[in-house]
Amino acid sequence: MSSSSAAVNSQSPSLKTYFKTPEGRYKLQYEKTHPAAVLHYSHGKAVSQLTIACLKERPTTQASATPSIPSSGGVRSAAARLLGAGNGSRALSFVGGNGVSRPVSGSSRIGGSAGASTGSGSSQPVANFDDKGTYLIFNSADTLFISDLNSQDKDPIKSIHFSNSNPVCHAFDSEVKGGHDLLIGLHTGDVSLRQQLQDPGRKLVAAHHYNKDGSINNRHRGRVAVAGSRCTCIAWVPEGDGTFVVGHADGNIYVYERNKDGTADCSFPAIKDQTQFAVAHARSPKSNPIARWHIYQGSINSLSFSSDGTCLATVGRDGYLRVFDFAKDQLKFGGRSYYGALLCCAWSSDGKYILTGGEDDLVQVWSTEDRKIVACGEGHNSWVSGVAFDSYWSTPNSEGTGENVVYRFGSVGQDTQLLLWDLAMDEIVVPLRCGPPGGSPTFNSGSPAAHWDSVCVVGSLQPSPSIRDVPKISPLVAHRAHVDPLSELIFTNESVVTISREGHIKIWMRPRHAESNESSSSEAVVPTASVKDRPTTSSIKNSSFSYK
Amino acid sequence: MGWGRTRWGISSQKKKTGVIAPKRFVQRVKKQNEYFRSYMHQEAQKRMKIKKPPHILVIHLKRFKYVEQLGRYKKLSYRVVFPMELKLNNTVEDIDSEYSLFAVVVHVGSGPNHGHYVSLVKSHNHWLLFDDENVEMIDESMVQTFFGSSQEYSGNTDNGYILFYESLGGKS
Repeated sequence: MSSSSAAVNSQSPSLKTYFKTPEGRYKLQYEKTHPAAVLHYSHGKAVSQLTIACLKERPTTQASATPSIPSSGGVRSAAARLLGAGNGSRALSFVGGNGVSRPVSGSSRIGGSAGASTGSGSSQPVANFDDKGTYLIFNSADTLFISDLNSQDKDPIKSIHFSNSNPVCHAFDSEVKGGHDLLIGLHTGDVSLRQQLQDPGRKLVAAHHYNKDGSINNRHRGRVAVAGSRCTCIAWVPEGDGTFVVGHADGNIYVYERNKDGTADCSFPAIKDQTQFAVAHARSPKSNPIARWHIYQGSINSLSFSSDGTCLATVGRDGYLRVFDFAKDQLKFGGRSYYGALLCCAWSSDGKYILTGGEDDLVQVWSTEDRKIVACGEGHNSWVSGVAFDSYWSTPNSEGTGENVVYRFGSVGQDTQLLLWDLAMDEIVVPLRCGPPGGSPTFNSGSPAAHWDSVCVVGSLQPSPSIRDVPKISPLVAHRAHVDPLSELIFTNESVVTISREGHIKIWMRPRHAESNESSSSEAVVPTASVKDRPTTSSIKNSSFSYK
Repeated sequence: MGWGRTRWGISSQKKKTGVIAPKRFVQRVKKQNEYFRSYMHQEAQKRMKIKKPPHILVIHLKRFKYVEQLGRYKKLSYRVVFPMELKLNNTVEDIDSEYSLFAVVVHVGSGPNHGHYVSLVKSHNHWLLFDDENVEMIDESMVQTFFGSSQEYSGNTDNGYILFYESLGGKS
């Protein structure tokens, strides 16, 4: 097809196109990538991040007509929204000319013709779109790409090129009113908000622009920094009515409101003590950002909101997880990695647990109720770059275990592996509450275990756990998913999506979906050879034995 | 100082991504225990522990390998992720000793018999890149560009070669 297909095909043939779990096989369904040309100067530096955008049709996704676009079915209107933004290469309306839509080379569907772009009455069916309206948004070097999750096409359907600075992080919210739904954080510290996805195609792509040229944090400008401090992570506040937060490499988080103009002059008082957490609200009501959270003096590597939007978790270079009450501007608790920076964090959908992963190669599980680490996952051979709970997972109830809640989660790392884990809470909690079992020859029964029984003070940061005292868990399955180091994973209803740092995406269909889709997929060729790597049943190892 | 004898054999590594992790060292001893046990037909244990963790821990990556077909040495540009901090936990005193990376010698070039060396040194919490008479301040995230490549033939030939870690004191 195009050059990008060749890039994927050149991958190591030794990689398996499936992996086994107790509930069945996950099969490689689709691969997505970008034209290989963008990679030439990004080696090692640019890290691709992944966002999933579900375009919700307001009525239904079935054949009923959408009000905004008459004579267009839900299927095509969703497509038109994306395609519409891709018509030509006109500079966008916001200042700086930063971000120019252009057709992807090798993708003939957009082409130069704006034929399908309005979506109003174009009779030509858009073959590549199914009725699900789910898109993958990922960055690579200086470009942001959009691919259709459910199409076989490897190439993105749209790309947005940024001429001034690389996009480094992005977030999407389907609930946001008014169409501006896609947030993009740039390497310069600028933030761009765009109606890239949800806006009906006939309008041109408009965008708000915040923190132009990194103006708010210019005063920390060092010799090295381009301008301001680079964005590292970005998120909509769930239930936040258009509020979003942006994390920066200088240890600050800025809170913005979507509807406020981003050009008004805003200033925050100088940070008195770089090491202390402090929240400053803007003095002027016109200011946007509306608040600055100074977390500490190092980079904020990732942030994540609980699903109700009340709590914010951050992880950073200093190896600390910090959990805040977002409305009260308060630190609830914090804890540290075994060693090195933490790189990623994620909440369980019920808000009870937080996962972190980092440079100590471990996946840590934290209880928000007990305010401490409850389990430590050993299985990666390199830095853990992405963690996520599988919120679509439900404990198989056929065994009638009833009480035992099992959380399923996944992690990806620079070791190119995708790991899946089961967390059985009854097994975890019991050994902790009873204290470490005695009589083990290797267990150090000395002092370090003491803090497990002590009450953790609200608002305190705890030191690194003694690794011997934390219950260990082992992965359910370890699968070498890509040839490149991985950067992120996302669970969807039907699949697990993994992305490498270089921007290659693989979509692994869940067992129950893999069968029905098998015939339609030409790519997921499943070898019939016997499997060597049998999935090991996960269990919490007896902590006394799991001493390294 | 058991570390001096530990070779991080990236040449034999099938996967072209690697990491410096003390647990590899421990796993190797565990494996040996299994062999030893089955050989002796009785319960026995062999282990290696670090008697005295060094103040400066130097790790030399074996980035060169003799290729018989070619009759010469070849440079290995494999990706080896080295952490900014690490902990040794297999010490005699059972106290984790924590280390922080403070210098890296980088080999630049595609072959073992030519090329150039530059070094990265952390000074007063800033990373400096020394390239002959040029000294440049760099962001810590730049250190990651010297990990090597996960692809066999990439243009990236600037690889971390000798790593220097400094003990942060005996605290856990």
